[in-house]
Amino acid sequence: MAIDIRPTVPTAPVPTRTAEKRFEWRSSLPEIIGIPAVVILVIAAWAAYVALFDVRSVILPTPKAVWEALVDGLSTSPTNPAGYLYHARVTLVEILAGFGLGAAVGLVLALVFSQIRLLERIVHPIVVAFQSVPKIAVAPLFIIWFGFGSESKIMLVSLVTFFPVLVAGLAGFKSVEPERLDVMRSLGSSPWQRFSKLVLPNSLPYLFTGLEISLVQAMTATIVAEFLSGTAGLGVLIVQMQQVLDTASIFAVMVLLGVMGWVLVLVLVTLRKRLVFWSAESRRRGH
Amino acid sequence: MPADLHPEAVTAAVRNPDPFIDLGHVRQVFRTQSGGEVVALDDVNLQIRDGEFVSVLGPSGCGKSTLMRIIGGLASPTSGETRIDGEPVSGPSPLVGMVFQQPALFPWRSVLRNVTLPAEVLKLPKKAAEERGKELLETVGLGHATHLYPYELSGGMQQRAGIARALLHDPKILLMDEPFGALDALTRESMGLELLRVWESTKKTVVFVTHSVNEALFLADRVVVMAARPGRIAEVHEVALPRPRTLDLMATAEFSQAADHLRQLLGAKTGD
Repeated sequence: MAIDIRPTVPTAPVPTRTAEKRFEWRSSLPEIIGIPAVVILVIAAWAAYVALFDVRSVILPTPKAVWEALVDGLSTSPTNPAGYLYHARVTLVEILAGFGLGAAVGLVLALVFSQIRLLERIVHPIVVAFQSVPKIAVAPLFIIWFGFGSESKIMLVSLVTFFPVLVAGLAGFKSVEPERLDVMRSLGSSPWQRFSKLVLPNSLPYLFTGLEISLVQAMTATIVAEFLSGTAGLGVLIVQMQQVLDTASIFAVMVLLGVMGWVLVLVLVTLRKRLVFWSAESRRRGH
Repeated sequence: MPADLHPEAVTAAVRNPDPFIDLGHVRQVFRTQSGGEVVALDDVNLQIRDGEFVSVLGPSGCGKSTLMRIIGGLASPTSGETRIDGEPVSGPSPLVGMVFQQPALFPWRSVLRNVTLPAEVLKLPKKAAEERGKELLETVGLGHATHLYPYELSGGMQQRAGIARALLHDPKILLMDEPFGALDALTRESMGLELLRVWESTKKTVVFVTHSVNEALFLADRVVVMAARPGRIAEVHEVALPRPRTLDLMATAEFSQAADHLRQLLGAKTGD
């Protein structure tokens, strides 16, 4: 009996990248048309409300006034403290520095805990307990310790950021499939090789979840810390506008904050899609 | 007695009369959480020749996976000694390539980069590893799939890639722990045939753990039958079936006689 030992492959059709893209483009048509339509509708309703009920501009400015304030604020040089760009830069640096520092500390702690079980058993519960203190509450303390400048904000943001990354990192580092670890072990790999080639990439889906949670919290913490004190930053700007009852400018700064946050999240999400395309979770979401 | 042996095994034995893999009085005891002791392996003695294909057959809990891990250097026995090519096993060795029940591919790596992983770990030249990886993928019928990712492959294809990976650094011994256990019956048979083809062309020593009587018999020169509680070798059965083996062999009287004998040893009333 002659048997064809060559396997009959492939079994499942493999979608090509271009086919996927075309599919995505067409299936997201409702969003492409729908989202701008809804935004325009909301702005129109807002304008109509202000005009019809003759709302005072201190309570609710017209969309046009907000737009003008935004254009005006953005048209100044980034070195001019009267414009938005100067403050946006300060806030952005605080978010990124705090986020970066916090994420790095969280990651290193997760690594240390995952390697030294005893330390995890002793220190981790303390860290968790400390987490039940609302971290914004330590902002005044941080201002005493680190001053009115960006340093106190960066420290607060990193305090807020590190915990979700620590938790995600710990979960991620422990999620390694034992058989994959056996594959690495059976090759006589070093601990560093096991970490860099298996444990770290394997934990990426977890890490990105932690980072995404942290980023949102980092932005909130930065603004709140700036409300409390400071000489520059979009939070400081909002407080200044509030004192002179310039509501249109508050709205304008909020729009700017929204765009900034959206871009930051987008960067992280794009990075995740690039690095974690292989995880079951991201494939379920359709890349 | 020599008539029972595969000619290649005989020549190998003549060339190298010493056992290639040598387990002497291997005993493995595990402590349970409640403080009790489980004897996973009790006084296991087994000699495997260079180039031989040995199946290890037994019910679950007979310690066959433990045996595999001890040979592969992933576990050290409580007492007794394991030698490969005369050297005591003290840890994982590049002489050994392992295939597990799950393909255990790394999903973030393409198929080719999965297969060349051993070269990275063992710091072998990259270019040569890539060439060899492509060749091996060709051998296991995945020549078209080098750039695909594991999730784009079927279970059988993934396991083929796992076998190619185990062969990359050209180990002398291939340890396979129920490698086809997660596959459907049809794929399983064709994988068995392919494995024999790879074995015949590469002259590896293969230790193949399975709980399928037919699979054990179909593939091996010798079948090591194990019993549970405590895990031990019940009998080492010499397979007298001719090579090269084809699927219609399983329909012969010799095959079913041998299979019945193995089933009796396992204490099974019906087939597997």
